[in-house]
Order: sequence, then C-alpha cells, then structure tokens
Amino acid sequence: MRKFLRDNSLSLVFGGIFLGALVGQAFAGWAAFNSNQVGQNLSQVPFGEYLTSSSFAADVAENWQSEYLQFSLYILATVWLLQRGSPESKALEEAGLESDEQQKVGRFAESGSPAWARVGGARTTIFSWSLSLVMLAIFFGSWLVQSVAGWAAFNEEQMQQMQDPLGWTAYLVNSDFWSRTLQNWQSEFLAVGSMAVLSIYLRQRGSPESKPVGEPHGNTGAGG
Amino acid sequence: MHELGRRRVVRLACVPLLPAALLLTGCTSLQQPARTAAAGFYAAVSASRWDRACGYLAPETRSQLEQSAGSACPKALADEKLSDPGPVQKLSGAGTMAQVRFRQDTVFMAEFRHGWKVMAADCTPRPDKPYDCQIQG
Repeated sequence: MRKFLRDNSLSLVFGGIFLGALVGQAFAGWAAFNSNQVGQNLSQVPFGEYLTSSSFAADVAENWQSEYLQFSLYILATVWLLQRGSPESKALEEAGLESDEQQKVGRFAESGSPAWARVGGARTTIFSWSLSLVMLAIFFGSWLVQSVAGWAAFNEEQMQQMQDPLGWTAYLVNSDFWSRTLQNWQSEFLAVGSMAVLSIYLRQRGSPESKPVGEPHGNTGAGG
Repeated sequence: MHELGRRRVVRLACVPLLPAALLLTGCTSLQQPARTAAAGFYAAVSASRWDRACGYLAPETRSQLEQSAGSACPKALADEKLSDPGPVQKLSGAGTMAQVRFRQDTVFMAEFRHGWKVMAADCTPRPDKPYDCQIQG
C-alpha cells in the first residue's frame, strides 16, 4: 500500500486537489449565483439544484476545455517547434516525428513495449497519436458542453433582463461565448509560453520539468 | 422544493446529450408549466378574476404594480386594461426563466418555489434594448 501511494503520489495528490477545488468552486459559485438571484428579485436555489444547473456546467466546462486545448497544442507543437535552451523542447536537431528506431515501434520495439507499438499498421499509427487524439477529443467535447451550457446560462440572464434569448448558432458567434472561451485560452497559452522560456534561465532542483541546476542555459531538452 | 429539484436535474440532462432536436428546442418542454401559467394569467384577466390574476404575479412584480398604482393589486391590475394577447405562438426557456410569446404580447416568466410566476407582462420589443413592459418587477 505504501509503495502504491509512493509510486502514484503525483496523480493521487493532483486528483485530490482537483476534487477539493471543484467542491470549493461549487460552493463559491452557488453563493454567487444566489446573490445574483436575490439581486434580480428571484428565488434562491438549493445547493443540489445549483450542481445540475447550466451555470455550474458552463463554469466547469469552460475551464476544462481550455486546459485540454493547452495540453493538446503543447503535445503537438513540441513535435515540430523548438525553443533553444528550454527543457520543454526537444533537441534542436530532433524536430519532427522521429524515426521508428527512436520511437521504438515495429521491429525496434522492446520486450516490454506496448503491443500496439509492435504490431504495425493502423493500430500502431493510432497508438502513436493516441495521446493527442484523446486530449483533443476531451477538448472538443468539453468545449461543446461549454457552448450548450453557456448558451442556456446566457439565455437565462437575457430573459432576466427582459431581452430575447438566442438560438445556439447565434450564441456561437456571440461575445459571451467567445469572452468565456478566449479569457481561458489566453491564460493557458501564457502559462505554456512562460514555462518554455522561464525554464531556460531558472531552475527547480529535483523536478523533471527543470534542467539540472548546473546545466548551461544554452543546452536544449535536458530534463532535471 | 423536491419537484423543483427534479425538474432542474432533468433540465441539465439535456445539456450533455446534445441531439440536434434538443439543441433547436433548447429543452423548452421543461418550461411548459411556464406557458400554462402565462395562459392562466391572461385567462384570469379576460374573466376579470383579478385576485386570481394577481396570484400569478411574481412577488416583486406585484409589489411594484401596487406601489406605482397606489392601490391593491386587483384594482391596480384592472386599471392596466390589459388586452387579449391572442394565442401562444412561441415558448423559449432556460433555467429558471421563460419567455412566452403570444400573438400580441410577450410575457417573461420566472420559476419560484411555488411555481412559475409572471415577472413581466404587456411587453413591447425595442431594437437593441430590453423589452418595454407595462407590468414588471
């Protein structure tokens, strides 16, 4: 048990703080929602009902879609794009999908390699792109949920203010949808870009996200 | 409260499923009671059952009506001389709000613990502005 906890501490800790933050968001969002309800002379809603509201769903989904977009783009971008001196970048001469030997696929697979890395054909191709495919699928799925839940929440506010609700396609080109979307995207892209650049010159001893403390600034792709 | 909670759970079930029909309808079937309440309000008005009609008004709407008229709701509502709005032509809804469009009127409904209430009635659209409503909270 102790070994399990130690060997999986990264996912367990981040899974735990994710759940904690989600619960905290639920309570804070519920309070804010009801505050708005009171301001509109409408009735407050119980916590359980807020959890199943379009307002909560939109607030959760708009954050999830941007996180998965961030990682999707980063996973794909780092195949071809380079950053001299950054541990986030591949070595400058290794841009691209690399050779089968480098990627240990087909006849170059090792004894412990996943079966789909060895078998070749469509399965190897799918497995070779599985990380970005799944991340992109989650991104598009959560963005779709944001669009529908955000549409419902937007229309609820529209009618509270005695204005006409919009259809879903009209909402997709509305400033509310793009404001929610882009405010999340800008922060994600900034974080990734910052990480790529700051890690050139700054260090965190012991972290695989950092170069070794004594690694020269100009060395690219060296993890800690 | 329990019935309200059940309705809201069903309402969100429309969100992740996303067939095209639900996208187009915006799950308005869940706001059908709002349509019924709006029609009930105007039925009471046309029958001059002012007490009954006042029961359909949201608390703040009723309060504002009485305050601006300087009289109790039944008399204040009668003095508004609301005309027949015609048949319901369209229902739009989201969350705790609904818009019921009659042929000659638009009514905004809000969901409270004890059912759907008229938040604003006798509403006229204005370009790029909120509706101008004769009765509102």
